[in-house]
Formats: sequence, structure tokens, C-alpha cells
Amino acid sequence: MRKLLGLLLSLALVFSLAACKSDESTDTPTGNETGEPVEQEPKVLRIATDVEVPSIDAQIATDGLSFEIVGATIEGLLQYDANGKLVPSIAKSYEVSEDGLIYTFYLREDAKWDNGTTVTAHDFEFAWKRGMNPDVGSEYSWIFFVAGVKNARAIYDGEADYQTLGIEAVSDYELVVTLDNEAPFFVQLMTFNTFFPINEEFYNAQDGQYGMRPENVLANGPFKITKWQEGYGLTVEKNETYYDADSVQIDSVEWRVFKDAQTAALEFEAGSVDVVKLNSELVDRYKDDEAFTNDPGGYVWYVAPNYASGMPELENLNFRMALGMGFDKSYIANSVLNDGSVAANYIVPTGLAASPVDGTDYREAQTRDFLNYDVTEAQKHWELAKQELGKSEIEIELLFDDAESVKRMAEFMKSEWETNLEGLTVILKTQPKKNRLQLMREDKFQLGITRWGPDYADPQTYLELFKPGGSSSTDYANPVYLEMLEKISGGGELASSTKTVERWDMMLEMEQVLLDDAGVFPIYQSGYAMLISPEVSGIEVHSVGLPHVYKNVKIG
Amino acid sequence: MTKYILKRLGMAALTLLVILFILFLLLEFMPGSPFNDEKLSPDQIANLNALYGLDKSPVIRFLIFVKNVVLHQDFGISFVIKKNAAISDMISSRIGITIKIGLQAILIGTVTGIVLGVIAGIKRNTIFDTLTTIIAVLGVSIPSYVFALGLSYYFGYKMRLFPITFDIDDTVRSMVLPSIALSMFVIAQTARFMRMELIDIFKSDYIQLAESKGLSNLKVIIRHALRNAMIPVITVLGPLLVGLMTGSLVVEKIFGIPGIGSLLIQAIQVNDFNVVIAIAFIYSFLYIFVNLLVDLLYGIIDPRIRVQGGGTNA
Amino acid sequence: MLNYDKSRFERIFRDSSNEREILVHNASFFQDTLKRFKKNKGAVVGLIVITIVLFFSLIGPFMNSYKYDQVMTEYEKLPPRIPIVEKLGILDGTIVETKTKARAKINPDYERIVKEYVVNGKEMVDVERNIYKEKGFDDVYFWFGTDTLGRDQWTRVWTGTRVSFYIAFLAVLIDMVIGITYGMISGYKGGRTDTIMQRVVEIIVGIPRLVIVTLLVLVLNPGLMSITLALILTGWIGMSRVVRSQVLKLKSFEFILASRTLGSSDSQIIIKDILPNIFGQVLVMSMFSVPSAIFYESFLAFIGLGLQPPMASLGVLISDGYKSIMVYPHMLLFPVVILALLMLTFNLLADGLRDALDPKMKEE
Repeated sequence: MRKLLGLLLSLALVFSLAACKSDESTDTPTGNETGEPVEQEPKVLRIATDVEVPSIDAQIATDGLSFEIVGATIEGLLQYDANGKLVPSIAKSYEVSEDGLIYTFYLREDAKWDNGTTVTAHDFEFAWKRGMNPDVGSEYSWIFFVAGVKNARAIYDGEADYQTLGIEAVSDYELVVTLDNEAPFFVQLMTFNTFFPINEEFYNAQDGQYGMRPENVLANGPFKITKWQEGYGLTVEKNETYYDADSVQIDSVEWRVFKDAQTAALEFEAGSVDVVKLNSELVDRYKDDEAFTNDPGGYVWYVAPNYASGMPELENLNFRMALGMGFDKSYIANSVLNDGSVAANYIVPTGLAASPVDGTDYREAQTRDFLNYDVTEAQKHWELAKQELGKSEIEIELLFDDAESVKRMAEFMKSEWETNLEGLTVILKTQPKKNRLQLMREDKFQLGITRWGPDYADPQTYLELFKPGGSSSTDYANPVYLEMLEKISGGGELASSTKTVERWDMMLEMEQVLLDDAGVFPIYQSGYAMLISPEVSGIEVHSVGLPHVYKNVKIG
Repeated sequence: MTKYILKRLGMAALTLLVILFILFLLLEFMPGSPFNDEKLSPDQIANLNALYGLDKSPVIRFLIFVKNVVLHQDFGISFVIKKNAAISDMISSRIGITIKIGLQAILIGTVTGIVLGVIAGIKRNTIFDTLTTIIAVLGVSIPSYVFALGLSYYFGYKMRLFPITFDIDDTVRSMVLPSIALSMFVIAQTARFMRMELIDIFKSDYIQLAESKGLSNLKVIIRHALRNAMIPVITVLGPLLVGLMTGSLVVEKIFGIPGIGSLLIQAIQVNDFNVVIAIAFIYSFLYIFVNLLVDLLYGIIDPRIRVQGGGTNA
Repeated sequence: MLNYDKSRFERIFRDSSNEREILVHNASFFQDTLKRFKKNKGAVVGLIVITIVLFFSLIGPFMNSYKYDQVMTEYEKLPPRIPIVEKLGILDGTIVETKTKARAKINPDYERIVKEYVVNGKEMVDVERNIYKEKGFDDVYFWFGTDTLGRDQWTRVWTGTRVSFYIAFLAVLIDMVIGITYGMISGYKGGRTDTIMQRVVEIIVGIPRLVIVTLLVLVLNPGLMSITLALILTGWIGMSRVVRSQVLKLKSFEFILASRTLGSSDSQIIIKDILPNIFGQVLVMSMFSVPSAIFYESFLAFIGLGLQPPMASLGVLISDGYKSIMVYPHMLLFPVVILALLMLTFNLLADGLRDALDPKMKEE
């Protein structure tokens, strides 16, 4: 009892201390005013974000914002340039063995951490093994076996020790990675956070606090984290020890958390932030503004039918075709969302992957569209479906989560389906997002609105969703499709560097099989409506991995 | 009296434990786990749950939690919001601002509310009375988010009197608008109760006696009426404070304030169990503490309650 | 000593004949109340306005041909336009947009500049645009405008008002039944009962509502039933606290002691002596539970526990409208105005009722 009392008292003390702390900060004058008068005004890129920063630890981070920040401070073996081409980063070159199973990376010798130590192959070995260490609990550890790294699968399944992962630092500047099987997109993955290096000595010196505060991480990239005010913002400043520091033209980047889109927009108008994402409601206010830009996004939203629900209608092709073609996707993209999203008559998004033959985009290589909005066609299928099913009235439930735009989308789809397909009743079911995910995971739904963002620049990241137990929760079990999926996946007969063209063609065919069968009903590919100050240029946008790269930003 | 307070404190601790225990049980039924991403396979979720001890029964987790809090003042770590960070650090860096704004709002709210309520009570059925009614009604029927955005827009964006959103380098001026936005409900509530009580009290014999003794109007109000009218006002303070803490989430969101109001909601939405429990613990602690204070204040303000009411014979 | 008119008092004894007399007196008390209520202008106005709002909520949705869930994409985001009134320059289908002067291309057919000014060194203009003219909807009138899916706001607002009436009624009922009873017992009994009951309240308050509600979403089907249950779980706490404190104060008063000395039972004291005296506070408190219940409902709807879309209530319309406030303020304006109007009139009505019912006001 006395202890509890003590606890309560100490809690009260914490309050008062916390209050004092923020008191002090009010008294300290702002830096700019007291700074050297001769110095030029620092060039700061100020970005409004609607979420807090969950992590600055490369192996722990799982969300876009964290990726962005980690990516601004740490560089991996390779990176994408502004045009989405793979270019050297910490690795100046690499070699692949004949059988495609051994990669040797040669590291540049002038790369340094911001505490002065050199970035070596050991840093990669340590970080990768850390990513697989079950005690670390990296949520992206599965990406190591997607990449085909030797023993990753066995470690993941608990059958091998994480120290046996197929990576070895032969010398300070030579790194050898062994694969279990060829993964066609292995090198692309080297741009992804989870494969980024950590300095072991520094890590061990942090006493378990690695990544908790700015001083608990090291940077080898263009910026280093200097301030992290939880719930408020995060600041990175130019890293002078970066090997390419001369080409970095701004002094710092600030992320400021604004959870309300409208006040964030007001701050933009007042000139206190340079980059802000707009929600669809605000687009109408700014769409004629010179600062208004649309960024392409990589997410594809689709309606997932649940083939494990046992609902006989979902087994009927005509029924599915009617649903898939029976709603106006462009209206959803252009009016309901209004943020630069585009109607998707496909499942593999634009800008994701390029053909190994001539570099054309997957979307251009695929010569036709699927499940276009077409009321007459949809009604034809609908009449057939009703005949085949012997029903004139069908009721179906549509599950979605409680985000505003999703809600309006669902309301619109209900109205479209019910108007266009006579006799169909759509019951809307809203749930908080985690409930929605859980219900879908447990196969307790009929139709669900869901989405997928790519992990790597290969169509497989989408195509492998649609299998029993796949992340789409559809439990789509088309034997033809599954057989093809088997072939293109890691270890499959087409997953070899000699068969990239065949694999590509099969992946084109897979989308045809999936969507001609109306396996899922694509809705739209996401886009972002942004306001970017006209002063700012050079923000690189990627649909895979790091959403934004700020290294080459120019201000003024 | 000391014995009574000690007894109440002991009871408060017990209540807190019960709340925590129930919370542990309830969170057990929350759908999903903190590791809820579409990309995770069921195996991986199970692994992560085991790593963070979430596979244990809620009763065991409750005992571990209590042990850690009592022995090490350790609330555990966050799973999602700031991955692997100690929750005590997360909360202590944010709670100051929330409490400050809450207290300011209560201060602004009760003072303004009492003044408005007294005016309405004295000038009953006049234009002043109607005006305060209208202010009070608008205070509760215009949602706080609309009001907050309005303040930010006019006083922040248009007139440039205050920062549009919270500015960490200028906290004093930054807190003005949020405090006002938050105080609207308090103003409304205090004003209405004050008016009601005053009208009752003016009818009572002792005020008439005091008046007949020749005390001035102001003195009657301050010495007698106000004191009695404080009771319902104080009563709602407890719920009000908690209401403010949760209400602050709206204001925190709109003004971009790094407080704990929005943290709780976020934590519940993403199943960051430890954060939910820690913040609920703090809220309950505050609520129980204020209630205790209120019960003691009754006695000070109205001596009759001390003699016969819930006080000494509890 | 006080002087009093002895002729106004009469010595009575407690027997059955007297009790009947009291009952008769109660009936005339009701007539008194009615008379006093009618004298209060504010209350009468309040009653009339409430009747009008109620009337519209019943009839309004049938006053045009649109249905509340009818999506008409071609009419999306139209501002309000009302025939005849539009000639006055208000509700005429225009919206005002702020643009930088350089980028504002004015089409004189349907646009005009209303104001020019400079912000942060940028030249800005406010442009008034008549969307109906722009899109060629000459004979189309949406009295309250349309929402983002082109649904008629008039129909949605009045349909939503019905739901909110229900919520308001429910909130008051929960306050009255659970809140008052709980507070009364806790305060009147005192001692151990009070201690336990107050600890229970603390426990209920200590568990975040969102946790309870999320769990309810899992087990309940959405709809009025689940709204009701969610409100019952927590809606009465504030009321019970106020009632308890009032009872604590009152039970030490002389007239309660007198009543007890005269042999009244506990229930008689509670109903006849305490209840009428706390009525004022109870009404005031109800006023606060109504809007918070209405907003709570919109939150419930959002997470899937309340009404399911496309159904709407005032609370849902307000929280939806908020998101477009900077671009299409009309989507927020009408539901908020109606809610505020309702609240105001409820209050006037409640004030009148209280004055009419208050035993202490009799002599006036």
C-alpha cells in the first residue's frame, strides 16, 4: 500500500516536472534570431505530415514516413535515381555468379558514418542478421526470404540460427550474399530499408536504446537526425560526412505533424510549410493553385470477394463480371477521391515494373484493360447470372473500414450496383480498420474493400496476393493461376535470370487470367494531391520503397 | 479527517487496480494484435506476439504489469506508435502540455462561466439572461472541432494574432486558442448551473434575511449566494476534467499539439495495448483524485455536509 | 422574529382523509403549472419552434422528389439555392472562392470578383461563382444544396433530424431513469452504499469509451439498438454525480428533517421532497447530455456502431460537413444551425418548465 502511495505521488511529481520542462522551453529564444547575422538564411524544406514518426530504426520501421526518414539518413548498397533507375550507392559495383546465386558487392571506401567511422561490409552483415534475429522482432524479416537470401526461410521458421543467414563480409569492402534460389528482383530490394547497414560497435554502445532518440542512431546518408519532438516533428540536417555531401543543396528537412488536414493547409497558405498533402475535400480549393501537384501513388484499391465464404453467387462468373463492371470507377477516382487517383482496370499498377525486353511499363506491355465500367455489358452478365443462379433477388454484404474516403466510396458503389443491377441489394458494413482486417483474415466477409502497396518493383508483389492464404484474404484458388504463380515465384522454373522474358510474359498472362475471371474487382490506383511551394524543386517520388527522396531538393 | 483521507486513498488505489484488471481483460478481446499489417502472415503475428509476451493470459500480464509499475515505475514499451520506446518517456514528454491546456481551459471556463451565470441569475428574464443562454447553448451545440478550426482560421490565419497551430518555440501564445476552444463547454456548463443555483438561492430565506439585514447586493452574492452555488459547479469538475482530457484530443488534433489526448485514441485504434493501459491509468488516477478533492471541498464550502453527508461517516 | 399571517396556516393531522386532500391538491398543481408555463414567453416560443422543426423532420423529406440516399453524380457539391429567396442575393447557388489574382480566370457569365486584397505579398481575389449557371442547371433548386455524392441535403438534414430527435429523447430518458436513480440512491443512502456506488462510477469512467465501443462493434449489429446500448453504458454518469451532490446538500436541510419527523418514509421523502427541489439542476444537466449524445452518435456511426451509411443523422452530417468546411461551408451550416436551434429552444422550454414546476415559485 505504501508503495502504491509512493507511486501515485511520484506520478504527481512527474506531472509537475513535465510541466516545468515545457516551461523552460518557452524561455529559450529561437535560434534564428540569435544566430550570426552574416550567415545566409538556412535552406529548410518543411513538410507537413499527418502521422507521427513510429521509428527511425531501419530494421524496425514499417511505414512510409519512417522509410522516408531512414532513407534520408542511411544509404544501402544501391539506390534509385530520379528516373527510377538503379544506381550505385554504398556499393560501387557488384558481380553475380553464373548460376545467379552468389552476389558480391564491392563497397566504396569513402563512405563514413557521422561519428567518423567507415561504413564497411561488416555493418551490412550485422544489420541483415539483426533483421532476422527473432529477438529483434523485425516485422519485415520475411523480405529476406522474398529476396531469396540463403537460410532466411529456415531462420524464419525457427529451424536455423539467424547467424547462418547467407551474408558474409569477406573484407571491409567486399560483401558476399548467397541465395537459396534466384529472386529476379534481388538487386532492387537492396534499396529497401530492411537491408540498410548498422554499425555494430555503435549499436552495442547504445545499451538497447538504439533508434530511440536522434543521438542513438548514426547516419551515412545525405542528412542526419538532429531533433525528434514526439508527436510534434522531426528534423534532419545536412550530414557533412556524407560521401556526396557537395551535391546536397539544402541545410535541413523538417517534418511537422499536423493531424488535421485543414489547419495544415492553412499553415501552407501562411507560408510556414512547403509541402502538404491534401485530402479530397480540400482539392477543390486548391486545384487551380500553382502549388498544386499530383503525385502518383503505388497503392491499388480493389474489392476482394471472399471465395471461402461459401456464398454460391461468388462462384458464378457472370455474377462477378456484373459486379466488376457495374460501377463507375472514374467517378470514384475523379470525384469521390478527387486527389489524382486514377480508375484501375487492372491489378498491377502503372509505374511499378518495366519489361526486361525493352523497358516498357507493365501497363503498356499489357495490351488491354479489364473489367471496364460498362453498364450494358454488366447488365447482360447480371441477367445471365440471375438465370444461372435461379434467383431474382440477391443480397450481398460489403465490408470496409471507417476512413472517410472509403465510406463515401462504399456508399457510391452501393448506389451504383443497386441502380445498375436490378434485384441486387448491397448491405454496407463499416468497421474500424483493425476489425476489418481481422474479419477478412478470419474469412468472415463476402465482399471487402481493401488495398495493397508494393514492396518491390515486380508484378509478383501483386500477383501473389491471390492464392489460398494470400494477403488479399480472397482465398482465390484458380488452379491455372496457381500453377503459373508457382512458376514465377522464387524457386519456380521461370525464376531464373535466364528466363526473365518468359517470366515477364507469364506475369502478363496471369493478370489476364485473374481479371478475365473477375477474380477481384479493381477500383483505382491511388494518387496524392499535394501542395508544394513553387520555390521547391527536386523532390523525387517513387511508388516502391522510399516514397520520397529529398537528397536532390533545391530551394529558391 | 486524516484517517478518512488515508482510507479514501487506499480505496483509490484499489479502484485503480480494478480498472486496470478489467482493462487487461477487455483488451484481450480487442480484434487483432498490435501487429496487424496486411503484410504479416499468421505465423509471423504469432511470433511477434510471443516475443512481446502478448501470448500470455491477461491475468499474468496484469500481474507482470503491476509488478513492473510498482517496482520499477516501468509502464512497458510501445508496440506501434513509437516502436520499442519506453512508455513512461513517451508520456512524460507529452502530458505536461495536455494538463496545462486543460487547466487553463478550466480556469478560463469557470471564471467566465461564473461571471456569465451571475449576470444571468441577477438579471433574470432580461436580455442579459437570454444572451448568456444563447452563448451557453452555442457553446455546447457547436462541435468543438468546428469552433477550434474557426478560432485557428480567424485569429491565427486571418488576423495573425496567434499561431495557426501549436508552435513549440512559442508555447505561451500557442496555448491561447486551444485553451479557449476547450473552455467553451466549461463556460456553458458553469454559467447554466450558476444561474440555476442563484435563482434558487435568491428565493431562500437566509438570503432574504441577509438582504433585510441591509447587506448590499454584491455582498449578498459574494458572501452567501456564490458559496452555495459553487456546489454543483464543483461537482461537475471531476467529470469535466476527464471530459477535457478526452475532449482535448479534438483540440490537439486541430492545433497539432503533441499531447496525450490524441495518443490514447491512436493507441486504441492500433492496439498499442501498453499505451492504452498507461494513459487510462493516468486518466483514472486524475478522475479519482479530483473526485476525492471534490468530496473534501463539499465539506469546506458547505459545513452542513461535513457533519452529516458522505464525509465523516463513510 | 418573523411575522407571518396566521390565517394562512391550519393545523392538520396525518390520517387518510388528509392524504386524499393532498392528492386533490396535486391535480390543481398541474393546472397551476400549465398556467405558469403559458406565461413564460420564451418557453412558448421554444415549444412552437420545436413543433416546427418536428413538423419538418416528418414532412420535409417528402417536400421534394429526392430520396435521402439518392446519388445524383451530376449534381455533386452544389451550394444551396432557393427560389424567390435567391433574388435577395442569398442562397442563390453561389460560392465564394479565394484565388491568387494571377490565376483567377473570370468567366463573366457566372463569375464575378467580390473582393481584392493582399496576403503575404500575394494579390488575392475572392471570386463568387454561380455553379448552377456554370453547369446550366437553370431550373434546378436544391434548397440546402447537395453533398459530395450529389445527394439532396434538404432531405438528408430532415431525415437526420428525426434520428437526432430519437437520440435526444434517449439521452434524456437515460439521464432521468438511470442517472437520477443512481445519484439519488448514492447520495441519500450515503455511507457504505455511497462509497461502493461511487467506486463503480470511477471504474466505468476509468475504462476508455472507445475500448468499450470497439468491443461492442464486434458483438452487436449496428443500428438504433446498439446506439441505445452504448449510451446506456456511459451516458448517465454526469447526471448521477450532479444529483448525488444535490441530494447530499438537501438532505441536511430542515424541511427534510421535518418531513422525516412527521413520519415520511425514505421513498416519500425522495419523491415528494427531494425530487422537486433538484429538478432545475436535472434539466440543466440534460441540456448537456443531449448534444454530447448527438455527437457521440455520429462517432458511433463513423466506426460502424450507429446508423450505417447511407443513413445519416445531424451528428453524422456535421462531422462529414466539417471536412469540407473550407470549400463548401453549406454542408456544415444547415445541420449545425438546426442543431443549435433545437438546443436553444429545448433550453427555453426547459427553463419555462422548471419555473413552472418549481414548488418555491408558487407565490409568484
